[in-house]
Amino acid sequence: MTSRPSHAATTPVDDGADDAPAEPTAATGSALSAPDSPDAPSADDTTPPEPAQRASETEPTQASEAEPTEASETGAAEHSASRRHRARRRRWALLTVLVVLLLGASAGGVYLWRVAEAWIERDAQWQSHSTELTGTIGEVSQELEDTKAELEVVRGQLDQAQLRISELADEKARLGDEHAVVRQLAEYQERVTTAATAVVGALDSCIASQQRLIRWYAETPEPEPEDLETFTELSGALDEVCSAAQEAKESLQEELEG
Amino acid sequence: MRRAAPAALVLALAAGCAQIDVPQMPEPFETAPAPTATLEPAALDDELSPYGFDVAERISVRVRNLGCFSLSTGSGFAIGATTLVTNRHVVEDSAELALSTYDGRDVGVRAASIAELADLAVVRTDGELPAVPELASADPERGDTITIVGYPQGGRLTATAGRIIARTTDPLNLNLGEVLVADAAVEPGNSGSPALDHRGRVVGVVYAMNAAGQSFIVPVSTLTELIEDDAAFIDVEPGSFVCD
Repeated sequence: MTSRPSHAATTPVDDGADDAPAEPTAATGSALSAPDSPDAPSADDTTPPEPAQRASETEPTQASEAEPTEASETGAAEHSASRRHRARRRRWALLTVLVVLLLGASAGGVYLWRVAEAWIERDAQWQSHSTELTGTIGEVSQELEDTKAELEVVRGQLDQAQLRISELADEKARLGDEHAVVRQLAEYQERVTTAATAVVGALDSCIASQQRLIRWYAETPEPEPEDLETFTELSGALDEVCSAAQEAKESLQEELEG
Repeated sequence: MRRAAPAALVLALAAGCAQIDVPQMPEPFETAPAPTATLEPAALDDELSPYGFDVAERISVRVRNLGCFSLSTGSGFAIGATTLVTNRHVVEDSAELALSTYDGRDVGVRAASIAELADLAVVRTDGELPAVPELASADPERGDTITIVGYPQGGRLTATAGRIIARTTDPLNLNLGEVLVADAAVEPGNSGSPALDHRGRVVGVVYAMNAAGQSFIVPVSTLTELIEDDAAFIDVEPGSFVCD
């Protein structure tokens, strides 16, 4: 603090002490308790206001004797009021900051509490879901094992099917071989039978021609010259059919000799 | 007014607190997690038939040669949808040729032609053959593994593994140029069987065997050369051989 207010204050105090020594203490006390601020003044605040109050209270006694210091006392009072006003504003600001901090901390606490509650709830969900998944994994693992077992069975069946297909193909091929051989033999026998039938037919014709010629000999013991024509026809027919029979026999013989 | 201001501020902050919401957190699963990849049946490609037979089995064809009161069987393999290769001696002197596939299906013969310079023949079919293999671009080397797939003794389709052990001139003088010798044991009926490498490509055609259990193979280079030469094969009429 400056020396000027202190000087201005000491003067009235000294004067006042002469008039009423006990009052300044009470006046000081009342003056100190007079401010409407509920807060107790701090050590810095108590010192300046005191001379101001004293100055105002002792102003009537100083009017004649302390004329030169009136202006400075008024300024000091205004200055003191300004300082009180600033102090009050600082207190309000401080109070506001404290309230805001308190509310912020409260909001943060509420936020963290809600987060914790949410995580607890989510943890329960995860645990529940984990249990479900464990059960599902067990079921799926069992299904996998069952499927593997079925796959092995199917593979075995496939191997059996392949083996059976190969066996059936082999059997079919062998039967086809036998069938081809039998069919070829049947065709051969058919050809032989046809040739033999032709031989038999040709021999029949040959024999018939021979019989006709024999009958002609028997019926014509003494042939006339005109009968020679008939003889020639009969013998010619005999040669023809018997030659055919000979050819059929040779054909059959070739067929048989293969 | 001054006393009312803090109260209003408190009320405002309290109201603000009431409006505070919990931050958005991940939603719990409503149901079990769906699998990200679905299991699909294995796609059946050309390597496998619907019944599980592989391409080596599907390319093989059984050849029946019905001669004059004689029957012989051999093997062959497809080189085209309606073309197969076998040995010349398998189709020669035939009164009737018949083909059947690995699953017993009969395939009709439309035409046949035989090579003069090798024991090879080409048969054209009426129907399509089950599968067609790839021809290797080069002959196998000594030591290479081969698999011979055919119908030994005209029986079931079998596969015999072996290795190329030599390259020599044809001891039977049936083929011009060199032939391959393998230690794979074959039997009558294997004539015309394809020799396949480890990738399933045709590297030769079996045509003979010896008492030591060795098989003789026409190399794929000879086969390719003759197939590309139109004059290398002479057409024969199937069934033209008649038992007179």
